[in-house]
Amino acid sequence: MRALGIDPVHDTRQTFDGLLSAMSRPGSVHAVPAPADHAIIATLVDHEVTAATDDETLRTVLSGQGRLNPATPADADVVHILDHTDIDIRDCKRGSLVEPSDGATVVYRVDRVGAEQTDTTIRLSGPGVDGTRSVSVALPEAELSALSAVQSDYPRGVDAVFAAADRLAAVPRSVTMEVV
Amino acid sequence: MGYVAVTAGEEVITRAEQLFEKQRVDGDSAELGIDQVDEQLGRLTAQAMSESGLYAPRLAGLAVKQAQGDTIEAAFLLRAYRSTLERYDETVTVDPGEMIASRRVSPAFKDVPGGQILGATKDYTQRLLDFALEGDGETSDPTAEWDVDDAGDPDRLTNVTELLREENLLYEPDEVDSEEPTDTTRKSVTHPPARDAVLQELARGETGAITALGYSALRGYGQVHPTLAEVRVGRLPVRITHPYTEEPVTVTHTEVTESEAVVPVYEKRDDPQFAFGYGLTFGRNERKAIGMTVLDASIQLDSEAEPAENAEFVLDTIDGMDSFGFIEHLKLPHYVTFQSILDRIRSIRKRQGVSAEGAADTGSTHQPAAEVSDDD
Amino acid sequence: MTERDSNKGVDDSDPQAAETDGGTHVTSDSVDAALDDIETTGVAGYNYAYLDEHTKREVRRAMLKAVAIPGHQVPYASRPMPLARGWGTGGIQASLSLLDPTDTFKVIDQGADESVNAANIRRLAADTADVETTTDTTAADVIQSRHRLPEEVLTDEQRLVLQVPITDALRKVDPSDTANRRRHAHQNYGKMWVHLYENVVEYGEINIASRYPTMVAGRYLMDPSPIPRWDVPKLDDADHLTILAAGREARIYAVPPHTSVEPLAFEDRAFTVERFPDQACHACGSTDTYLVEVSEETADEGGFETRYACNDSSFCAKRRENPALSKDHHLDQSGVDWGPGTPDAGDGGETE
Repeated sequence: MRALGIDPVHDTRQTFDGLLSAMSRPGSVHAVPAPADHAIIATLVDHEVTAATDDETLRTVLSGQGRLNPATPADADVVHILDHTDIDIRDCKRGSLVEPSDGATVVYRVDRVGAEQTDTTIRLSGPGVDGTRSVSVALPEAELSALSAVQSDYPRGVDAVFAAADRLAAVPRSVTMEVV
Repeated sequence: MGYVAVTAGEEVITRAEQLFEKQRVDGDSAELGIDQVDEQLGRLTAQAMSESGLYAPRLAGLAVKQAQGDTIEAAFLLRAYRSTLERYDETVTVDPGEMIASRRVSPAFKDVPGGQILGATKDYTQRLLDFALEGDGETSDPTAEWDVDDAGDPDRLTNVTELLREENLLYEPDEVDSEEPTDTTRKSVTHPPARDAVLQELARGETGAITALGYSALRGYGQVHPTLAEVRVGRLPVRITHPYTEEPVTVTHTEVTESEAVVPVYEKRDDPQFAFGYGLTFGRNERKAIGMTVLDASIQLDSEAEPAENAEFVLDTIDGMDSFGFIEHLKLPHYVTFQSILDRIRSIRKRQGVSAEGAADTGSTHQPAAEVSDDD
Repeated sequence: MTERDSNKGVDDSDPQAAETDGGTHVTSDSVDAALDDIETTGVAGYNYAYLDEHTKREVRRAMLKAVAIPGHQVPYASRPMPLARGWGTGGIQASLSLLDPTDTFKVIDQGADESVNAANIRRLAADTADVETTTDTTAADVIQSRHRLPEEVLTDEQRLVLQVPITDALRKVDPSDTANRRRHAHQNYGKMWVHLYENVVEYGEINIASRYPTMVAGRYLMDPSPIPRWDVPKLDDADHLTILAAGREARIYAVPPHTSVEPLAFEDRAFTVERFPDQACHACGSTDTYLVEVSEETADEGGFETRYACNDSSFCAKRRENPALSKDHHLDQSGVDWGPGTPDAGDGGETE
């Protein structure tokens, strides 16, 4: 992971802290080592899970350590999305009723999260949110609506993370998401 | 020895540890060497290795010495140590037919290709205490005087079950993925469990638990009463793929005990074949390997009529670390939960008009059961 | 405390080391060398926070899924720890995967910091994760607890790790996990409701002391761990995150902040907490904390008296200094009382 500029112990711990805070308080934005999407993959992925990514650097570093167990986005536990037009979120794994945690963790690389008012705003409510919380994400409405649809069959669904440069936010399947 | 009053928690732990250690060193006898444990208490170290899932005879000797002979405590030390070790590689699958067997018996047949090799066993001897062992002096090697030709270890012993397979009498289970076997230390067991997961759990299971549950099936709480096709004790090669030449290379050998059983419980009505049970464990531990075959065959029956045939029941109860830990944890303070339980029983008694002196005559015909529905 | 490096004991120029990402490197060209290594380097030979990164990833993945599906038990490959199964191995794996060198860590066992088991866990974390430890609830970033929530209100900056012996509330009605997992899948909790109803018929009330079954986010039936009923209402709409971890049963589940946690009850048999009628802590005088009784011999021959004391020993120490200290004394807002029996408490107050 040092090849990615990520310390395998301390940066992953910091990234995990950000992920945990983001998942427990959906819509809140947290600082993590940059680039955020690489840090997230380095924190979550090893050969015990299947991963889908088109990022050549990541693939090389992970397989060099025997940590890449590649799969298609439809079969992967962790899906790294560099460009949302490449992948249909509706194909990703949603888990089963008996084991909903088999549903994928989807990591979107985006330009911005929690920044521009001109980006799409989503309003969240449910576990982890006191009332409602809104956050903006540099993704088109259609993509976020598709994500919301995939998450609408609780407890099955995917859990999404938006990774921009040095920060992230998350929308677990447990919350209700409204595209505003 | 009276109590020593110590207040700080950590100091108490350290002193308790020291008292435990004192029990080991308090006598006048000479310090036990690890070599002595390894060489002279081989069954004990074998059990520790088998229940920890770590083959390391000298470390097992150390663990047994430190644990003062408690096999589960020793296995616990080894397992905890194992979990700190880096996993460099995985071995290439090895065919048990390659075992360099020092002992091989086949109860199913009077004679078998390669012969019945009794090897080292006390099975047929009378269990009489040997007071000659009481002295400190050197006991001599009774085989030193043997006047026999050493034919050397047999290269390969035909496995008796092969004979049965040739006649198509053995039910072959589904193909297992030998490239990516299940590893229950990395992925927890879900039910119904894959057969390789069952065997792995049994291989690391507590000897007493496996013996007891296997016995239950034989005793009548189950359908499986097997005939053993083979019991072998010997050394199996440990082989990995060489990182540069990419050829398989043998790096060491481990001593194992292996057992195979056939069960006359026919898997299919129209094409009757024997069911088959397998057992393999580190070190010399025949009752555990045999117990494993009984349980493996029982679980494959996929019935839940009896405890030994219920995969969930067996796998939930045979792991030594889990069972010993949970049983012994009952020694931990439980006064908060007990206060809650006291509150409940007092409330119910009050509701029923029962005082500390005993049941008052409330005219109720209700007989409350002395049940407390709390675990832990 | 020696300086912790990410791969203590590993030579960076060693090509093998460069490839390991935080594994524990023990020189083992011979068993003697391995044994010597343990003796001389001791704990310093281990990765930051004891666990190797492979283990931490497994635990962390499970925690994230647990938070995403509140109340659902997520399976994970629980590792053997130097503590025995049943003594908090799940909790310690969760804590060690969470802790950062700037964190302050509190560990309590049945409400007491000074319990021998809590001290053991604290020692492992202090030695391997380089954290400060404390007995002050309000100063802790991560709190690991066996069977209690502290009396003082936890904030949104704090994380609570509860040790769980038995992960499924349905175990009371069916020993089979396979059957229970199907029930959770289909939100089929009828068997539990029947059990509770039979309790009421037999005893006049629901005869469950601790491990009181709760419904989380209206979807999953959850075992809150053997905390007393007193503490159950604190999980509802809390400011803090609660992680519940079981080592032996290899499951992690979670209650995010601001999540509904409702104890099961009937309309005419409301959920009630433990009662301490006419009792106060003999040391600090509190009447609004969870008390435990202690019997001591009196001067009379064979006589004994029963006294009550606060179970949360660190809060009791504070109350001894200041009997009027509120449970949210450390927060800006006032009147946020936490837990039953306190003036502004909501559900779970004493009804009898």
